Amino acid sequence: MFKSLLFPAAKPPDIRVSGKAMLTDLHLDQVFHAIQQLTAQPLDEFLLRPLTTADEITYRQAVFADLADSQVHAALTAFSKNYEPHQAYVGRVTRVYEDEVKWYTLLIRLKRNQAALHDLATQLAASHCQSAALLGLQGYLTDYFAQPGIQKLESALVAIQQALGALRYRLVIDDLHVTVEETTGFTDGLHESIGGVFAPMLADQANDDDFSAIEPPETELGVSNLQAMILRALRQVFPEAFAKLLAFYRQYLNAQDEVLDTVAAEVPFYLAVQAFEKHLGAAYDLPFCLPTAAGPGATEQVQASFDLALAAQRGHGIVTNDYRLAADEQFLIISGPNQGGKTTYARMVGENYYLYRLGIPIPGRDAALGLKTQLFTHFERAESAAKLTGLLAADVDRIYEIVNASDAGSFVIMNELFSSTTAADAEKMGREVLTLLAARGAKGIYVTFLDSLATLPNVVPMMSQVASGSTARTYKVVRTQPDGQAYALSLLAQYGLRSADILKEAQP
Amino acid sequence: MNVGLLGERLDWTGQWTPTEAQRAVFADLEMQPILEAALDGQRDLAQVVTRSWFEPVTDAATLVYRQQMAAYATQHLDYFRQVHQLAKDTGAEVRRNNWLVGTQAAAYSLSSTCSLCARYLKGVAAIRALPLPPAPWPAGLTAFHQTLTTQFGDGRLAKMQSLLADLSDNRVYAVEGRLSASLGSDVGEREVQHVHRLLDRVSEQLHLGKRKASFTLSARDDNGTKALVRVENQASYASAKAMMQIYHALAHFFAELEAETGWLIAVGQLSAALTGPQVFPTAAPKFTATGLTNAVLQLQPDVSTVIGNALDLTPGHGLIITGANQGGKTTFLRAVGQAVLMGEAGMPVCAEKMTLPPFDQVLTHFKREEDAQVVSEKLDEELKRMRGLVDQLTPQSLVLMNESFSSTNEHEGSQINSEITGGLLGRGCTVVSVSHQFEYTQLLQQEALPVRFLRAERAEDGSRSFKLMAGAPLPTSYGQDIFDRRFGALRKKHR
Repeated sequence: MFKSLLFPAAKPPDIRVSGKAMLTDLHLDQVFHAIQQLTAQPLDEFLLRPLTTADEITYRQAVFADLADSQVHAALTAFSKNYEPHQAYVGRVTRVYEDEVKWYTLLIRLKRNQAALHDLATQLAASHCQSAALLGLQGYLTDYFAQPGIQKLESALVAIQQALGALRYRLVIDDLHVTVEETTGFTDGLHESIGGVFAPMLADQANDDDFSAIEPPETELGVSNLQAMILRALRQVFPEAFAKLLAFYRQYLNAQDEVLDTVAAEVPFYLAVQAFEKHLGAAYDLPFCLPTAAGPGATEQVQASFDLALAAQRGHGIVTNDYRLAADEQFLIISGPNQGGKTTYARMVGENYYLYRLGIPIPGRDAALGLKTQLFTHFERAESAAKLTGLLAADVDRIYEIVNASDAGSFVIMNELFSSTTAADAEKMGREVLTLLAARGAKGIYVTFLDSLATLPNVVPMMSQVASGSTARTYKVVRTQPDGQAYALSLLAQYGLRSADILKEAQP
Repeated sequence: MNVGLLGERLDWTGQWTPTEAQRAVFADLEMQPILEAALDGQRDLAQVVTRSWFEPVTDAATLVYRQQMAAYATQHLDYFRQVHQLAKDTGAEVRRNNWLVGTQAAAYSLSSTCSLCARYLKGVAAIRALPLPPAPWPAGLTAFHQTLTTQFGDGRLAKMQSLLADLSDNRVYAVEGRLSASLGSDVGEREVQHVHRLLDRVSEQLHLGKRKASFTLSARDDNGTKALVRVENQASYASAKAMMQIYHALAHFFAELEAETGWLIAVGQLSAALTGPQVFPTAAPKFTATGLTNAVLQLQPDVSTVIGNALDLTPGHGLIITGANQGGKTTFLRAVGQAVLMGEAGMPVCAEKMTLPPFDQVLTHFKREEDAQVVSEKLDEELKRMRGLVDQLTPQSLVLMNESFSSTNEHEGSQINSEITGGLLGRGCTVVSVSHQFEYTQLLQQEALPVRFLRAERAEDGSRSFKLMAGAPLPTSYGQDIFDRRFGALRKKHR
């Protein structure tokens, strides 16, 4: 039985992963904020609730795959725009003070909702959607329209709409005094008179004249007092039509379909995520893909990936990087010049693991990822103004908690751990932490200026790169043994301060 | 609505600003004094005169049309002064009363444009009431009066004025309504019989017996009164658009009329200020002239005789002018440029005879004296400027070069100069180049480029006749003697 576009199970899992700090470290809070900007529907409920099984992830991924079909996309976009769930309109309708407006508002709302549902069914049927979720929704809609109650509602909508639409009246406006009267015919408007008298001039003037100085008349949003009073006057002029309207209101105010209302709240998640990624992809030529599940013993990888938060913020000039971690490898040790893209790389990998668990497309190509049940981050905190000892203590406390909580399903991202202490100490502590985490079967990334950590077993050394012969960062992070000094040398060369340069200058 | 005095569908209204290259041409050719003479103190004509110099008429028939109009107007300036004044005053009064700033609501726009158009129609009536100048008329004047008749003849002007008068009091109005999907009333256009309040009362009685209901909004009901305003705006929108169209047509017509008559007045004034022979050039494939003089010299009353020069230049060819310093080379170069700007605008030029091919633009590359930069920067600046000209080159360009690339040594300058001149000619441009560089002329000859040479003449005694004669360049320039004259005495003193 179809219940939801986001969760295959009858009841959505109720665990909500904590870890605000992790989201902040990975800049996912920025990403989510940007996605939330694209819809009025609150998405936290979904964005902060990673899925726990591969089946759940596949259920959503299939919908994203369908969304690439423009027909499916158009269908869901139109539905999201035109359908309003019961809980969203019922309060608004019943709070309306004037009876005529209240009745009419409900009529219009239900008419639009039914039209939106029909459009959705038609468009989905015409599309090639294959996801279990959308096929389920299609089946649900078929059953829905077959219900006798729904058929009765729709014929009532048509009848009343026709009766009201057939009313013809004249508004005579004298300052603030308005008369509403029945009318049968209407004479030529002022516009025709102007057109007649100035015919040669209008014929001569180009049709694409600039009318931007005239505000296009506003269409009414919400209900003004004037409209309410006109409706009341109309009820006096045409009492029969309004009696039918009242009967309709009484019958249908509380009609509701909970599944469709749930779907209406879920569609914005898909649309907002897709719009966000599609914009980045199209504007800056960045790839996105749906990862396959990497089972135990398989290599995990993402080609040409990037930091989504950085891409959303900067857009241009995003450098992509490859990620790979074989089954027998446990930690990536990333070193290299600062401002070279080390942290960005680590963030990218963390984001990918989290986004994969939301069932949404991730940055990159050809991705195969494992389902990490726990994602830990240890980044330098902003409160570095605190005393050094205090800072180190806090660092140690936090990493201890992480090590303690980690297991074989954990992925731990550590960024410049113990930077507030001496290199020798930091190295010793770093080794210790890595060894402990390895023993628990956890995997992860360790960003550091300490080359020596790369000599541990089961670790992979990587370096952020500098363009050869210069100090320009390429922001590429690749697997390579740390060279310890390539960057420093090129910087010295630029200033002519390498030992060879200084020796040469000394000679006559 | 076409004014038609100076050509079909001419449009001199609207903002026009010269490009950087055009500003350079204006300065290099010394157009300022010529402009001043044409304006005779009427600063507001400056734009239209300048613009006409940079929007050349390259079509022979249109050129004749404009020349004939200019010649006729010069004889009957009074009529055009009167029309110009009426157009200008009307335009100014409309601008003073025009509160159409930014965007307005339709109802406000409708009433504003109605009153502005009424003012324009008053101007039309005044122009139509002027006594007409004598026949035979040039085609331009006929076209102008044709427009007036088509638009406002046969009693149309009176009908227009009466409709606008009706609309000036439009407080009560009626519209057709029907319920819209958004709960409001979709309203139609204003009903025209409700334009008059008197008529309104009559129609009120006619509608008696129908089912009706009335209400009055409270003046303090902000929400309701705003909605009422929206209804009025909806009902007025189509009419407001039509009136806006009419307003634009009239505004454009008056602005264009002011510009075109202003231009005719300026041409008449300039013609009167020039002392030497003037002629309207004839469109022809070759650029030829006799007695060509620099207009700026013709504006100086104390200069008794200005030497006229002959010109014979095929488009796509080059003319290289060399010879004595202060021999009249630059003066001549400017005279060529001035004649093209003025002649292609439809003005008379300072010559005895002239034929003019359709150059679509004049570009100038003159040596700049003003800033004392280091040599390399000066050369950069020159090359950059030339780059800018080449960017906008067309095959019908006339390029006037004055001592180009003299900011470096002669050898290097000659190489650059001949390289560029060859390129310009290769593109089909016509080039007139003044240069001191002997090597430059040698290189041009070696390349067998289609160039001819003129030389500033110099008598045996060293005096200058300011006459340019055909002739190959001589290896030495005559700067030395100018120097000698200046420095001779000083030099002797030190000997």
